[in-house]
Amino acid sequence: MSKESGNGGATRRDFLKATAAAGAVATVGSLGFPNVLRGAEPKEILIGHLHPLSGSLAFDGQELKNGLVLAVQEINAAGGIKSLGGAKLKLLDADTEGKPEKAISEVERLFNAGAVAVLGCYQSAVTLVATQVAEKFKLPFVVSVAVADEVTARGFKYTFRVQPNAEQMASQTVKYLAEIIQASGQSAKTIAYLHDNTAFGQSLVGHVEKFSSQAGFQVILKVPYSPAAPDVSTEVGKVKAAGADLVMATGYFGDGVRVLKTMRDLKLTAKAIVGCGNGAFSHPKFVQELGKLTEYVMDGNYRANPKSELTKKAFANYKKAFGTEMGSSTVFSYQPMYVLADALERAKSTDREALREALAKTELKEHILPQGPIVFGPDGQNKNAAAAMMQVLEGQIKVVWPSAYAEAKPVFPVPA
Amino acid sequence: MAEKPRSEGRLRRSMSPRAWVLAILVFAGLHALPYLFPKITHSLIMILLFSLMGQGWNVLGGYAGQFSFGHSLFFGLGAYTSSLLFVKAGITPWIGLFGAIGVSISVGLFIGFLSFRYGLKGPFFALIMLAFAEICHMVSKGWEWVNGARGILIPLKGNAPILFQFLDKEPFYLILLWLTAASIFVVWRLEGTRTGLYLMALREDHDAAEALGVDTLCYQMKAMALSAGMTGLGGGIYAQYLLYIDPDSTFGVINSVEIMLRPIIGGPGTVLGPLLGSLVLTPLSEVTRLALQAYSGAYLMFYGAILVAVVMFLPDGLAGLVRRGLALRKGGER
Amino acid sequence: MPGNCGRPMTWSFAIQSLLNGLLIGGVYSLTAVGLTLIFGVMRIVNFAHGSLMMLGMYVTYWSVSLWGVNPYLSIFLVILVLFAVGAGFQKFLIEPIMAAPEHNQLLLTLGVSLFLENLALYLWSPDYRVLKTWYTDVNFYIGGISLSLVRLLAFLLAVIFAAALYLLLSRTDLGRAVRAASEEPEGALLMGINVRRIYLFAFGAGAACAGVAGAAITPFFPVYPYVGGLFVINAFVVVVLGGMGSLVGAFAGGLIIGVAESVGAMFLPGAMKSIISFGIFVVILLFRPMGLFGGRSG
Repeated sequence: MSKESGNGGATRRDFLKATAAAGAVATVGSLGFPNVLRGAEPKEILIGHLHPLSGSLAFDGQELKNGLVLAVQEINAAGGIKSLGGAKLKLLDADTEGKPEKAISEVERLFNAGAVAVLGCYQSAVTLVATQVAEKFKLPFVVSVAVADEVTARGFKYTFRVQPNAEQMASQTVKYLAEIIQASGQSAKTIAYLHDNTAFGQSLVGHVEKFSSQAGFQVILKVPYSPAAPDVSTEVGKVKAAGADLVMATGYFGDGVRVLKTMRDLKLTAKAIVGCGNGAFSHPKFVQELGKLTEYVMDGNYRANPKSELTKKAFANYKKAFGTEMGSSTVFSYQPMYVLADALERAKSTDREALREALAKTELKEHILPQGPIVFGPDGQNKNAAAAMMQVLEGQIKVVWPSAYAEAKPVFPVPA
Repeated sequence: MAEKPRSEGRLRRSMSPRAWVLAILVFAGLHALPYLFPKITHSLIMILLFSLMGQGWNVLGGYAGQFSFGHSLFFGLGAYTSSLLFVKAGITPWIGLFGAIGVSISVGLFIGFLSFRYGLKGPFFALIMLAFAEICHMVSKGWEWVNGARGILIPLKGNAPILFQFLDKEPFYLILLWLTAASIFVVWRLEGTRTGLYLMALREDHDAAEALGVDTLCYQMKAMALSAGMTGLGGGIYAQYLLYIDPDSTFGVINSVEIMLRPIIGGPGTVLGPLLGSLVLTPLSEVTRLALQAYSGAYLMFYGAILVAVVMFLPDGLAGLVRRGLALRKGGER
Repeated sequence: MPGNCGRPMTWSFAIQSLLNGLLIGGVYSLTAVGLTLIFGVMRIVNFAHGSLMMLGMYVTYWSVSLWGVNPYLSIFLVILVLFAVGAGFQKFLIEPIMAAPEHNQLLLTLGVSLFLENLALYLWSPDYRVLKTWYTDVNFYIGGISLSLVRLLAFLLAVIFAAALYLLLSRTDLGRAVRAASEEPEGALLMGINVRRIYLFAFGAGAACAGVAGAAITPFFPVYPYVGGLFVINAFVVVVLGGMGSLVGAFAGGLIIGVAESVGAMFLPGAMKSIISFGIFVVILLFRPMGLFGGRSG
């Protein structure tokens, strides 16, 4: 700055002092009177999301995005975030391309673009990285779909997950299976487990083994396969040759379809084919793709509560908006968005810290999940997260267990 | 046809004092970049990282003439080595990086010995590197000790410089800035040494070099060691930057392509080629991703088109273009 | 012989694996035949081969979905389209750089594959597309073994097409010209053979092979932009195994690799089964680079 001479010398100091004073008043003021000093309420609240919008999992990623779009539309149509003057939610897309390293730049981009929170990522591998970056930035991250336990086991403060983690998913699937078998009066002891070899499948295998042996089952064979493999006949053949009573399968949508088709082609017989968190087995498109081949296939997976009115409304709205049925994964982009909206209402602010606090105190009873209220533990995991057991019966995917949420009775064993 | 200007440029070994001062000023100035433009720090880090690894590829491909289509092998080995040393044995990555370099060099020498001893070159060498990279890819996916497909999550320690973890990006940038500058310097000096000259000789005509008594195996191995080491180092740093690695993001074929494209487009066999290539490609991929939002694989379309264009019209890469431009300005006689 | 998980290694399982390996091997064979033809005639290592296969798959998929054409009839369209693409590729991109160092040609084909795959991504979205026909589910059962109709058809198609190509090359004038041009381009020129046109033909035919292989598997394999990547590496392994430039070698190699992978999968965890083909690849490259049937070395 140029020298100011004469009485201008004092002017600069005064100017600075005045500015500082004004600044102090503004700061103190904004702390005490947010509405007054900030002027208008935020018209738009930016929420980012990271999903594989392209690549091999694009189908799943786009579906998750649909769920978010629907939730945002509904929330906005119902008046937006009322405690913030009816501010509307706005979705910011980020394509992870299915790659963990893309998550880094995308989380940062969303952060810089002003997202107050982020949802994602469908793949455990990508979610692990994304949540770590979000933690560094102190950006609230609500997981849409990702099952690996570590996502909420690292002591992070900004990560929240609504869907069941691997341990919950595996333990509940095994429990329901044991209960179904007991109720049928039949017996089944041995399990052959076919699973994808990515972080998804591998995170479930250990738990399934542990809980199975606790429940009196015996996992006699585990066969990993690559979701990208052109041909899984040999892997399925191994499972067939093992002759286990029960066949379990974990995988994403595309390979799940391929696996079941191969099982039918090879005439694999078992008392039941049970998915564990399977991306295909309880997906509406599964039945469209394979028709009668899917009959009696079970899946222990996350799901919307079929008996809830909210669920029926949501499903109807989804069908109207996108022309297809809402898949279970999509439930977990839809519901978490509502969790966020609820937290924003309670936080009465778009400040990320306040939002984090509100999220941590979540006790959401109005939701479409087959569980009690959504409450997060100190680790950010939904304590009451529950899976359900579905089965394809007469071309329809129905919840068959637990009975509180069941739409139909399970058929076990599969009729010969 | 495009060979001659390249070798003539090589003989200009020393830089004038004025050039040195300029270089040092530019280098010093670069330190300030992330503070001036914090929003592009990540891109800058990626530019430098791939420029470093690209330089590694360049030593083997551009200078020794052995195009490897599997450099993700060293990237992955480096990333996994330093990460495993930390996660399993608590060894700080500052030391772990040396392990990363060591393992990469060892594996590189092994493959190099096998390949060069049996006279593999051209597409066969390219493919065998690809094969080894894919083998490592698959092994790491199926091997429980390295966590298989779940990958390795490096525990977040907040700001822990001793453990090579920083909350801010700037330290990564500065470290990579120095390493990239070092890699450029090393290769620049290499050009003038006997090793460098022999490498270029055997690149141009392997048999003639042999006939002249050059121990081609020895020099190719040296090139491989330097190449593997540089790329492995990049892998280790990448692991610390992301704090998470898995088989696909490290050993995947796409990394081999990304590493390789930097020097090829920038100018294979030139000192600044990898950096030039990185300066063009990294922003390009970011920009096209934002511009063509629908399916962001689009940037790879541009990579492909650029690669084709470079091969057809600009085989010397951007560096060649620059040199020709400078030569024309100086009066054009070549 | 017990497997490494202590499960019974039944004969039917072993035979089933062998059979499946053979059937998919046929597809590998056809893909490899195309690749080896391009290499044999022009010494070009065509990295874009997988994307050409992908194009063939999309042509079939669109023919069936948009016009209701039978997937096996659409093969004629695939041949036409892919031949044109291959020849165009040769004429506009490869020809100008035929004299350039080998690795430049390698890079060019790599660039083309990147471009094609992501162009497909841009145009047709990353969605997996699966053809549904009534015969997709048809299986024959012989003893405890199941034989999928569509896989059998894919195998037969591969055999027929490869055989046709072989006959073309060994019995016709065109074939003789191709062989002349590949062994002695200068001599062939002197004999009045339009070598450039032969190259166009060779690349077109090679591309058509990839396209037909893609069309053959579309009835039972999902179509998506990056699907070629799964096959191109295998194709290279097969070509090297069989001997670069040898059609018979490529064919035999495809079957060998198909069976080896399937048999390997019986003993190894799923993801590692390709280690067998890569292992074979490395061993062949190092110790017998001319492959099993190859005459000339790489």
